[in-house]
Amino acid sequence: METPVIETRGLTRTYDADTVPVHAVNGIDLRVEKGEFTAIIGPSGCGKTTLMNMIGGLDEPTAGHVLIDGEDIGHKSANAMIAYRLHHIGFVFQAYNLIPVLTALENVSFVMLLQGVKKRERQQRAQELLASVGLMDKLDKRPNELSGGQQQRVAVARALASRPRFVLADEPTANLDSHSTNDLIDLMAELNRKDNMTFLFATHDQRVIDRARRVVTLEDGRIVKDEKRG
Amino acid sequence: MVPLIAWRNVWRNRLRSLLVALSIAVGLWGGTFFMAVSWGMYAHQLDTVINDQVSHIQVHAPRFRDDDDGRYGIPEADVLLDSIRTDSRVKAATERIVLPGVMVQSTANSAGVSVLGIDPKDEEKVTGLHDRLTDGTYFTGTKSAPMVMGAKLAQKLKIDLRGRTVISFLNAQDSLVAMSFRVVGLYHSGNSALEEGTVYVRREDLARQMHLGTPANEIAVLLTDEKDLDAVQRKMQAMRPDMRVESWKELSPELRLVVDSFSQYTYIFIGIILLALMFGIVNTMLMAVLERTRELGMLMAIGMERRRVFAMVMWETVYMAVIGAPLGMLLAWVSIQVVGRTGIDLTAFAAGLSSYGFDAVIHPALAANFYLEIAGLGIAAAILSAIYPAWKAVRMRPTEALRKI
Repeated sequence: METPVIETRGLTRTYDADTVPVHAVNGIDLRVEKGEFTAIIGPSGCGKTTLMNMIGGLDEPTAGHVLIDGEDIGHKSANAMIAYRLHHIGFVFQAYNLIPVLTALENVSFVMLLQGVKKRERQQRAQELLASVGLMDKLDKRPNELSGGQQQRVAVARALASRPRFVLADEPTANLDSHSTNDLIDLMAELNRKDNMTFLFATHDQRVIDRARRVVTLEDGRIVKDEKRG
Repeated sequence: MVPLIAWRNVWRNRLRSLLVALSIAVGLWGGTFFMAVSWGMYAHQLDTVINDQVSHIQVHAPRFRDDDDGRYGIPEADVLLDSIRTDSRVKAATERIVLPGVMVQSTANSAGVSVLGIDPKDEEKVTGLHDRLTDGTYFTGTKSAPMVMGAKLAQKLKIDLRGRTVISFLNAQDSLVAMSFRVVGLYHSGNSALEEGTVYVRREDLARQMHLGTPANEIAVLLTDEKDLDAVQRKMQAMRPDMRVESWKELSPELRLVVDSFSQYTYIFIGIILLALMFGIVNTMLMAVLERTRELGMLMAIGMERRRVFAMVMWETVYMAVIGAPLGMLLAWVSIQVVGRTGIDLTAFAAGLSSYGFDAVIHPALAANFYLEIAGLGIAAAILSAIYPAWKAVRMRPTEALRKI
């Protein structure tokens, strides 16, 4: 059997709210294979973002393990985890979270700069990525000169810039209008199909859920349904 | 790219960044100008003490200095004086007979003074006494023994030009001598202690009654360049090991203390200004960091190492400091140049200032090295004050930072 890109084993995150512990994520076992286009859904507070944060190495589990390509990332120091994220994980956030003082091209290049990629190579790849998300004419625009949909496209290009193992997208369409949402889903589905890039979404958005090929439903920090579609 | 991001971050809130840069500039400007005013005051005092009073170097018999007694002369003073004058570093030198702690009397009053028996021509070159005459003549115009005294002393003694005075002293043969002089000139000095406490007569007049057995009990030496002081002093001491050769630093220890401690206490003053400035910078940079919490969290989430986040915040502060510090130094240089020429007129406080040896018109001045040092201190203070905000930035947990609205 092929090693999954993402695997969680008994993943648990407990918060101490006053004296009563709250299990945000409660013993989740999940396998995500290479090339999956998976949506994690569920009501607010069900643990979607906490699960995503632990898979992305942004939060530490109280118990259990996260394995990326079979490697347990739970023992890495904070600094080692930053370097791990840089080289292996792409992030798309709900609020775009681009660097406001950099242009679209610089935002995408920036991740490669952190990786130590040479200037010519990162300029070329950043242009290719922005072309692939349909923003070739917006290279020199700063985030405040772009629409929400355009900013989220730049964020997708940035997430792919580091050639990650997978992309984590936490509510990527929450701030977008329906037209931009459809465009963004089309874009990510195309990247998934063409490059076999693995996408894992946490979302409420039915339009994203409808396009996902696998839907994992959480409730009270547990998986209550795991549905794969043709 | 981190310095580039930092540079652009500086201009995200232009008003705030300009205020920080301006506060650095104004703080350093104020501190530097204060230093220049202080140095202007002390430089005049130093100039007065050296050029009007003690010169760079003086030679005495050891007991002259120990006992403050004018009856101890310098054996073969003429020979020593001739040797001193052959040194190219010596601008002028003269010999004197000095009587410290002598009573001078007029018909109306009396006062304790130092009597300096001088060679008028030589004294012109050493202390420029003739230039400070405000009334009368320079040891001419009388058949009697002439005396030049300070205008303030003349007021105290209620004596006018042509008036007679008597001085009484013990000569080298332990005889009490009373000598009469006629006041022929009045001088002014920026140092009121000198003006009220020193009278000048001709050395030849005093010598007749002192019976020193040698031409002088003091040799005063003025150098062309202060930097030769130690070398010339050592050389003279080697020439006459039996005599005490002292520089103005030993002769006027209070002034030496002022000069030596000038840098220290003005740096303390600058330090206080910089400390206040640092609190402002810490506050501003903390604000800049905290309002970008989400962005900093995102940077660490996508893989920006903590050391780079730290460096970015530091760079932002450095940029504001390198704008503010040179601006402050430029303002300081221009204002010191302008006010240095016109002077700060404190004539209203002239009497008080004069009693401390300060001039009534202060000409601010500052050596070039101080500008560089103060600018460096300003930048260093800014960098130091950025450490805490930068540390706060890297201590953020990306998950918590990303949740911030």
